[in-house]
Amino acid sequence: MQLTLFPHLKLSNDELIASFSENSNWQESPIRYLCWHSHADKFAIALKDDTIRIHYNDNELVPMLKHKLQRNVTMMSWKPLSASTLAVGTQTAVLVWNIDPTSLSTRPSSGAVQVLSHAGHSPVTSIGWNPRGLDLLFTTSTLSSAIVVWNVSMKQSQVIQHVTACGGISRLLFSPDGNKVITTTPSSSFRVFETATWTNERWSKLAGRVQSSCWNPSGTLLLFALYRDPRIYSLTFSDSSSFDQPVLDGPKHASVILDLTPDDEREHESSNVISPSNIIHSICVDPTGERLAVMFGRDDPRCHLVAVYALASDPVVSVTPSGFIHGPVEAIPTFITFKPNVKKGALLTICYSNGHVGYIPMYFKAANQLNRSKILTPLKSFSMKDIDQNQSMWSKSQNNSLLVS
Amino acid sequence: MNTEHWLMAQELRWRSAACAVWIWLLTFLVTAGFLFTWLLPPYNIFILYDFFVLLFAFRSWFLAFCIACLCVLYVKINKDTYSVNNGMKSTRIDMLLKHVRPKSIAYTLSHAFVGTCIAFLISNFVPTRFTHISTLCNSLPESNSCFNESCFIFHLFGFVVGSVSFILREENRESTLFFPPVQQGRFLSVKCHLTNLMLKSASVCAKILAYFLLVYYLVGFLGRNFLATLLGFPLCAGHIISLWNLFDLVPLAWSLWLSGTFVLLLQNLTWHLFNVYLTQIFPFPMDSVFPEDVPKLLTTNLNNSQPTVVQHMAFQYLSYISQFSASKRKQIFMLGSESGSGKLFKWEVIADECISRISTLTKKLKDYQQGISFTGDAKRSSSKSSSTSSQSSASLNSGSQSVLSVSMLRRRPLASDSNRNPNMSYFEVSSLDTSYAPPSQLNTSALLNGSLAVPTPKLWTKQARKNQANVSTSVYGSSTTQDQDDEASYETFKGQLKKLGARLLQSVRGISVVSYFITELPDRKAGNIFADHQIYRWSIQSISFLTAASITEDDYGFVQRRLHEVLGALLDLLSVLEKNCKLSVTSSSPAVLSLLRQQHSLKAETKSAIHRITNSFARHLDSIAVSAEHRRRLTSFLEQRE
Repeated sequence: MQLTLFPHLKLSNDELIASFSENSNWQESPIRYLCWHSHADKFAIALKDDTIRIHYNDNELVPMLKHKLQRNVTMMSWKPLSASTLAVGTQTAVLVWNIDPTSLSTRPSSGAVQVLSHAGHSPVTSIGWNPRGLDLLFTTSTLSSAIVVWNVSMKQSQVIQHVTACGGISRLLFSPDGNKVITTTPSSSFRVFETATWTNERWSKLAGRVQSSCWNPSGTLLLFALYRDPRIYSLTFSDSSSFDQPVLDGPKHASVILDLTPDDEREHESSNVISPSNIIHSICVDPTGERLAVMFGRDDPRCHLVAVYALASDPVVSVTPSGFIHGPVEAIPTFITFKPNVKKGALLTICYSNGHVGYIPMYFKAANQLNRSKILTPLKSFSMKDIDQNQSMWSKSQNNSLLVS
Repeated sequence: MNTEHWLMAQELRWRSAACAVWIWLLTFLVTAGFLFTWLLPPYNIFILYDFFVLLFAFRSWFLAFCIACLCVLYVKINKDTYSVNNGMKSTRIDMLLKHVRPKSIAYTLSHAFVGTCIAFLISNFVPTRFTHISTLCNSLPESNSCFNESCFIFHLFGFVVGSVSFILREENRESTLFFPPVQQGRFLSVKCHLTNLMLKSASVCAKILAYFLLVYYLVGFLGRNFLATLLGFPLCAGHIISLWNLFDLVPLAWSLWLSGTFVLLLQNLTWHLFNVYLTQIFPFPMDSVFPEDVPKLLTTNLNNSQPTVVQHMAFQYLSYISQFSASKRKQIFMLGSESGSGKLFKWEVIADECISRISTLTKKLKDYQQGISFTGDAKRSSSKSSSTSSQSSASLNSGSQSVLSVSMLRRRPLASDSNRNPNMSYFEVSSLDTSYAPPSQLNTSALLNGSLAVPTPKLWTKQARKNQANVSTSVYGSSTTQDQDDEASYETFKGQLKKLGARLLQSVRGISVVSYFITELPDRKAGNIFADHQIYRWSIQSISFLTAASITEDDYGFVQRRLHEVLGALLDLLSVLEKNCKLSVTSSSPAVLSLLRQQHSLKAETKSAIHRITNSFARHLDSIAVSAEHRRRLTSFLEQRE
């Protein structure tokens, strides 16, 4: 009965991870995941051979992380407010690496890793640190309805929620302000929790499961795309900073902000046709909240492109096409992410099926720059040095690339 | 008169009452679940029919009602025995005495009584061999009924489970309130933890059962014979628990295990709900225009003089609002209300409290580390005592000005030597220790050519100095009165008594059996430093969140005035925590290990707190006056190298 309702339960571990991964070709692609550090100029890259490498902007040293339990990496996340802690979701457990940025060793020892394993909670398909920098790691599994929170230093786990009758939790994503979190499921529903008391609102009766989702920086706008649905939907929430505690007041219905149906299909389409193949695989918003990148599914004719849109959420949500990004010849994008902490504009990072990583800098004047200057007003008396440390990394060329061997 | 704090008298009492009501209701559900399992034996093919018959019987409802009332008693015991502080007794004698205090015995017996009562009520749901104390017997020709050993064992096991579980809870510090990192509603919490609670109850019960059966097999007949004689029942031939009776033992063990698990589950569930209720956030008022409300304000309740549970709740709320409530933060950064002592700034009070807690932890850790190094050095030096003492005496007797390094001097055992051997001289070098003394106290003239030369006058012993003082007094103080002489002789006598007492204590301690009991266990001593870890954690979080938020929310610049203090306190704590984490202290007790692990958690918290501040203020921190060492650490935090 349950197998009929939730077909993903019949899949093997590899297929299960691949079908819910942010990587469009998780099984074949040389690069499985890429994760930028939120403040330092470094990123961790998980490869098909189950190793993870750390690349620094100002250091030639590339530490390689390898562990016998580090198999089938599903996701990685740097701990906010820490320079050295990286959590890795794998097929069996969560591994928390502590990589000393000043160390000259290229192979951190097994003493630098903590293994966190909770019974009946594998494969760990999604992980997320507390965005406020507390020592709490949240994990979910597509085969478990539990949201588990780990006190990492104490190695203590606590089940804080059960999202029942959904066949598991495919992804957990905190809003950047840390006040809300979305949990998507393999069924046609998802929930948004507020993080003070963990009450939630549920959206159901969707046309399919949520394929990809992302928040804007203030946590007031949630964008999501459904499996085999060419549209991107939005939900708008109030700004929690004006309340005594985070609140959930999302609208009952999500609104469509972007329709990516190809023109030839649009001609003979009725209003509610679901495509036989997945169209949108991944969407992400840059840290300023002004650019939206869309990666297409593997079977879509536009799979070799990444579409970029200008996004505005104030006063109303609007999306304006900015252009398409073409990758190397005969390579298709498999993973996209924006680099956090970019001073001017945004930096999109694209991993390609041939093992290349491309950096796409986007220079624009962010609307919230005005707000930034306001923020710094009370400290006028201090000497302010606006050093753009990141500039050197990608100002040399418009499309630097790194080949992962 | 010792009046109860308003929070405990009002809020916590209501929370306990609410917990009692909810556990009373919940017990009916748990009992229904238990009954279903109780009827489960494989030979019972009418289990559903029996279950529903039982469910609609008045007798079952009455018995369930009684069990629910007993669970309310658990709440009462929990309320009397809970603690907030995680500190542990650090000597073996204290650990033993803890369990034989009258209060402890009374609570142990209360738990045992409740366990026995629940066993009695369970045995009466369905007539089984555990129901009646007497049973029909064919083996005895002269009497129809004999003593029912099964019933005795069943009730005795209830007694044992009740008492042992309470002792285990006390030993493992499970009656200490646990403030979860994520607050949950009561039923959600029960739902999420029910499986774990059941598994834990079942495993603990299985362990107790194994020991119970073994002990009963060896000495159980004593109790059985005593009770049978007391009640005037003849005993059946043979024993229930014996090697020749293994087939009968399995269903008995199953029944005992089920009933024991049920008792433990009710205990654990009650404690879990009690913990959920008591650790919920209490919204303390931030400000009030009425003077009678001052004791209820958040800033008042953060104080060290308040009961520990109140301090915990106040710091918990402070941490919560510093993270989630911009409006409350705004109130903290605003000017305070008028009071007798002038304007009160909430930020000042909060910063004082948080920094003082952080400094307390830093000081405790420093003292502990000094103690460790001192003990280690003393041990090393005692192993080389003969050679070292001969060397030093030789160097002293030579009369030449010897040049000694600070480390050499520090390795000399000081107080212990002086106590044991008052005539033996020792160096007065505490002022030369650069790492612990402020630079002003350092005898700079003693620094010669990069090494430290101890000037001759410093080498006088305390004893010698005292004698010298006495001589000078006798020479120059010619007008000494009789009273002063009496007083002096009394003081001398008192001092000698003290010395005698100390010597006696030393010699008693020297006896290995006594020292085994009274010596402080190093793991527990190290763990006790982190007994208040929750308050330390909340202090670190609160001060860092408030400081980071102040960059946009503090209109008056209160926070910036104390930024150096905040950073200094956090950086000092981080450095001592880093040192402490390198010390290898291990323990076999899970409770002690859990406390020891807190140091890693607090270290991670402190690092995040410093990052929180440095990420907010960034290069503006260059303008803040801090020491060179702190500047170096701050720079590495700014450059994301920590």
